[in-house]
Amino acid sequence: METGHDSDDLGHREKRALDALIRGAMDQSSDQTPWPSEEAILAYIDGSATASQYDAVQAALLGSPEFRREFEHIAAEVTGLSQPEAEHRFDAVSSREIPKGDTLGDRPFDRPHPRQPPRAIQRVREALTRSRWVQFGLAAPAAAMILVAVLVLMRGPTRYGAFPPGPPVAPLRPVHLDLSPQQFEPITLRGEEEREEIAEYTARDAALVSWRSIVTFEEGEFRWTHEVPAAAPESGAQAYSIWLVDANGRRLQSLAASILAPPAHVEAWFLTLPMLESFSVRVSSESLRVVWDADLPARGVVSLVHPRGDMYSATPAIPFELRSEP
Amino acid sequence: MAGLSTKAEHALRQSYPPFLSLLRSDPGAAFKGFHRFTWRLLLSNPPSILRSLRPELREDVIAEVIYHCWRDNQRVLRAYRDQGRPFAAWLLVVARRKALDLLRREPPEALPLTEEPRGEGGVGPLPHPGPNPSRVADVRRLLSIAARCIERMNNKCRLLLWGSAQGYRPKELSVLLGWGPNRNKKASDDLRECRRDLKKLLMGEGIDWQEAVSLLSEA
Repeated sequence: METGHDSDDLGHREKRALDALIRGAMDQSSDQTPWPSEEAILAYIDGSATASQYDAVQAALLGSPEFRREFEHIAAEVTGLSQPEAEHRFDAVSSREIPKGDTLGDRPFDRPHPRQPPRAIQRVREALTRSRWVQFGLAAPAAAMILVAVLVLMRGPTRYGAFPPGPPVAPLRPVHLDLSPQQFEPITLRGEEEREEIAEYTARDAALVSWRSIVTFEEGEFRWTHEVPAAAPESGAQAYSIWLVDANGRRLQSLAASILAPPAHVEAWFLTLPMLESFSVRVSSESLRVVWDADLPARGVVSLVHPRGDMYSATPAIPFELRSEP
Repeated sequence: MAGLSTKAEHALRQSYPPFLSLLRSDPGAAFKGFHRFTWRLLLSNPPSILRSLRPELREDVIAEVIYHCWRDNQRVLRAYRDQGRPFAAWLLVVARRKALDLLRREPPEALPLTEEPRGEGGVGPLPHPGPNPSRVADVRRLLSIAARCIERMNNKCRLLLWGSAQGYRPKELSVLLGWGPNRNKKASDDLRECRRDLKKLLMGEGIDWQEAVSLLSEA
C-alpha cells in the first residue's frame, strides 16, 4: 500500500507485500492480555502516561488484536471530543431525547422512557433504593430542623411597616431541600478553586453545588472555606444589587454581583447557617430589597442562579453576616 | 463585592463535573446529573461501536453503561480520579468497554456491522493463496517466519509496523506509540528503520525477498 509518509528504500510493491505479511503474522497473536485502565489509556493517548501505564497499554496493544482495533477508535473519539462540533452536538441533545429515570424523588422511574430496557431500569431502581436508605439516614436530622423552620414560617405573615422609597421588595420563598450538615463535610476537589461558575441541570442543584463550594461543616461548626475573590465583570454583564432589609425596610447588608443574564431569568438562592434553611427569590430588577425576618439566622450564603442553555449556572456563593448598615 | 461573571467550562471539557461532588452527600442529585450527562454524551458523540446498532439496542447499552457505573455504591464512578482530562473522555472509554462486553452476549443479528476499512491508504486482506497447495504452504511458512521475526523486534517497531500495515498516518502512529500526536516526524523515521530491520530479519531466516514479494503480491 502507499501510505504516503515515507520514502525509504522499499518500493511500493515491497511495502504492500510487507504490510500484508505483518497483518497476517500479527493478527495470529493471542487475545489474552487484559485491557489497561481507562486512565492509562487516556494518558497514553495524550502522551503523558507513567512508566507503568505505558507498559500496560503497550502490552495490551501487542498482545490483544481486539484492543489494538479498539484503541484506534478510542484515540479518534477522545481526540474528537475536544472539537467544537462535539460540544455543539452535545448541546443540541434535547431533554426530550433523554429517557426518564433521572430522579431520586419519591417515585423514581415510575414513568420510564418507553424504549428504556426493562432490565436496566429495574437494576438501577434497585441500586437507587439502596442508596435512598443511606440518604434517609443522612437527611433525617436535617428534616427535623427544617420542620422547625417551617413551623416558624407558618406562624403567620410578617407585617412590615411603611418602607422608605427604594427598589422593589421581594418576598423570600422557602425551598425544601432536605439538607444535612454531612452534605457540607469537606471534600477535596481538584480544580474546584478555579471554578468560578457552576453549571447544573436544575437551579436547585446549581445552588447547592455553589453553596457547598464555600461552606464546610467541620468539628460541629459551619465555616466559610474562603472569601470569593473579586473578578472583573464580563462585557455586557448585568450588575445586580440585593439589599437584605429588616421588617422596617432598614438595610442590613448589600450584596452585589454581575452576570450575563437579564433580570427576568435570575433567582437568588439563600442558605441560612446553621439551620440550613433555603430560600429563593425571583430577581425581577437590577436592584431588589429582600426582607430578612428577625427570626432568621444572621449568617448565610447566597448564589445567583440563571438558566444557561439547557442547564443552570450559579455564581460562586457570597457569604453574609447581617448587621445594620448606616 | 464580588464580580461574578465568568464563562462556564463546557461540560465536555470538565474534568470533574459537579454531579461527581455530590456522590457521597446527595446521591439522588448525583444520579440525576450523571444520568443526563451520560445520555447526552452517548447520544451526541457515541463510540463507533454504538453507531451501527439498532436504536433499541443502542439505548439498552447506554442504560447498561449507567447501571454499570452506578451499581455497587457507584464503585466505577468512585474509582474515577481527576487527572485534569475531561471526564467525558473517561466515560467514553468505559462505555466502549462495556458495550463490547454486552455485545459479546448478544445474538449475532444484533451485532454491529463490520466497521468500514480505513479510507486513504487502506489495505486489502492478505492475498488469497488460491487453490495451489504448494502456494498455500509457502504463504503459511512465510507467515510463521514473519511472526517469529516480528516477535524478536522491540515493542516500538512491532507497533509501528502493525500501525503502518493498517494504514495509520504518521500522527496516528505517534499516538499509537504513546508519544502524543506531535511526534509524527520521528514516528515516520522510526518506521522506515523498522521496515528495513524486518526485511533483514526475514532474509536472515533464509527468505528470498523478491520471491516473497512476488508470492504476496499475486492476487
